[in-house]
Amino acid sequence: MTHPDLDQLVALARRDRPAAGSLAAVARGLRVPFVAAPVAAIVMPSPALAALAAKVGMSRLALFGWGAGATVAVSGAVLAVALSEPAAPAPVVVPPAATTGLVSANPAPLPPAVEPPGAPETAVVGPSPRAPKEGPVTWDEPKLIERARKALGSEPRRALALAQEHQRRFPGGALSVERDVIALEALARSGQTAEAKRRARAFEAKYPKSIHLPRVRALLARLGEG
Amino acid sequence: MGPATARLFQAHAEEVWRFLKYLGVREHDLADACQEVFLVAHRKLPEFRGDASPRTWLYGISLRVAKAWRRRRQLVQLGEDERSVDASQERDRERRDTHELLCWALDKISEVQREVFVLHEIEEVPMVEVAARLECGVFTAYSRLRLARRGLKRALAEKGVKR
Repeated sequence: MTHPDLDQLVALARRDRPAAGSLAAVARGLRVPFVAAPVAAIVMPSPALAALAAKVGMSRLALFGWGAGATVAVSGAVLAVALSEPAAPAPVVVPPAATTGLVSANPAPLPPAVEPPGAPETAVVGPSPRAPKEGPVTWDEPKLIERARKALGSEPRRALALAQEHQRRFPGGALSVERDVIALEALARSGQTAEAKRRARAFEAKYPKSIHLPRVRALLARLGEG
Repeated sequence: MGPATARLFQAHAEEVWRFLKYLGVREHDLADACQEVFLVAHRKLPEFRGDASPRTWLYGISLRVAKAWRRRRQLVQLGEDERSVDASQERDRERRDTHELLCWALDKISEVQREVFVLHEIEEVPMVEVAARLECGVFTAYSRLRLARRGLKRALAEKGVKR
């Protein structure tokens, strides 16, 4: 069997989320309300994918967020609220008495429930900059990206075709950013420099914090910015 | 807990959880470690000046908390060897899910390399902030990142992951 390589493991780790209910238990320990974030659209694996997953021993199916989907059914009220995704979600206050085994039975003494003066009320309300990417993901996705990446060196046109296939099959996939990088490199290597430059600039604008940016900028520099 | 801490938790608990996990806090300790981060955050909130984003501020606290948990784990290992169960399963590790595979590989590199790698690659914190958070120079941070990637690829290669 093959594993995704390091970059793919990292891309998957970025999507890693605690099992439903785990944070609710911590919230109870801290005596703060907590509404689990809405779970991204989950595509349950097809029988073939499930068989593949079983074959490679993905016991918890945690690989692509299926774990989150699988636990939705048992997560009770907190996620039931989360799934309805209201515009202004009503906080679910869980009584502190309902602590589960997930958090120490005797948590550290809680500080007084009085907000210190001058607390940065507005500093912490911004949305998380790392909202999970949406979209269905399957085990096939990293395989396809890996094939495209491998083709880059010797068969850039094939790499481009595979990137296009990825775009078609996994439009909101976890590895969309990687796909875009492969596509623009493939374009550059197959002589379509104008299109490669256009896409590289679009990439810069779209993903200003991407870890792939140095690579994209190096490509632009190679092609000549003009 | 006051409303500011509650908002902090609501907005960043998942990230803190993931961050702690890839920094090496074991799955069964994650809830306690995560709780500890927010207890410290609650206590230190008056000191928070807003010169970092709340997220990276929490990561700073998490770095210290995770370090303490790793130390505790090492002490346990010296005693009853908590991981002897894991070790016996280690040859089956390649069949475990990929998150665990990455965590396993991260255990193989040094702590400082791990911190840079997890902050920058997984949490996507810009390198300038990573360096500031870890109180090292940007050049040093990049050097650690490079070494981390090399070490991780080497470890993963042992498991049959292509380099």
